[in-house]
Amino acid sequence: MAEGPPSDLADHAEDFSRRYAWEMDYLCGSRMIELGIPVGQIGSRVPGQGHATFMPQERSGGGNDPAGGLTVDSGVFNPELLGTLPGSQAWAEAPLRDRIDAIIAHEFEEARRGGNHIGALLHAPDTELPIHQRARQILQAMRPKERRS
Amino acid sequence: MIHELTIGYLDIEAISLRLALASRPLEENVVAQILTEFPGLKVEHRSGYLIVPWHGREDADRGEAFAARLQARTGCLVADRRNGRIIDLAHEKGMARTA
Repeated sequence: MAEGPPSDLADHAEDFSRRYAWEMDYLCGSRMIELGIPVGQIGSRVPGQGHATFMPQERSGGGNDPAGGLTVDSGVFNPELLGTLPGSQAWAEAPLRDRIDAIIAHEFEEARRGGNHIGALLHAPDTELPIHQRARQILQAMRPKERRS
Repeated sequence: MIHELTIGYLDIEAISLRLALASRPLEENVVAQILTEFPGLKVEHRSGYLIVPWHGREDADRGEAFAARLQARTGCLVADRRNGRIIDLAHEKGMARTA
């Protein structure tokens, strides 16, 4: 009998991501191009995977390397990614396309600030990237309270 | 999007490739001693290194404080492995203030 999916949501997200890694890599790369991410920042060098925009083995939602390369990962499929922190409900209820946009915008703003996560939380909701409105709402919900408008 | 701190005697080259490799394990007695100062902190014990929550996760401040304490006692490295960065915790505090 075939095994069901893992019961843990992060495990499930990674399992799904590994099976659809190629499609997700294509989707995330295409979306970064559409959003106007500079070519040199689209994806990152990944050992054993070459150059990739999607990293199925990681669980953080997304990342940016020291050279500014942006990636999305299996955390995009995890509705509990943000735990109980601000924005968690907006994240959990958002469809995949808006989560991808939110991740790309957050990582783009973090990379341009040298990896400053707090700076990204504050500035990503106002990003000039043409992300979906619902993605912007996720980022607004994640913004620290004292800077929400 | 969310971050964790990897703590240990880490190979810097490996971190740049987003890999965690410890050249030797952390001193268990020191880890145990410092852990008593952070009751309930979620610490993952891996092969010679530790992982604690950081930005975008619950208990991020205590995770960072734990890493700083352990680094001060052992001289080990602290890294954001997912993003291929060695972390200067003192510099991070400055960045948080100027964000």
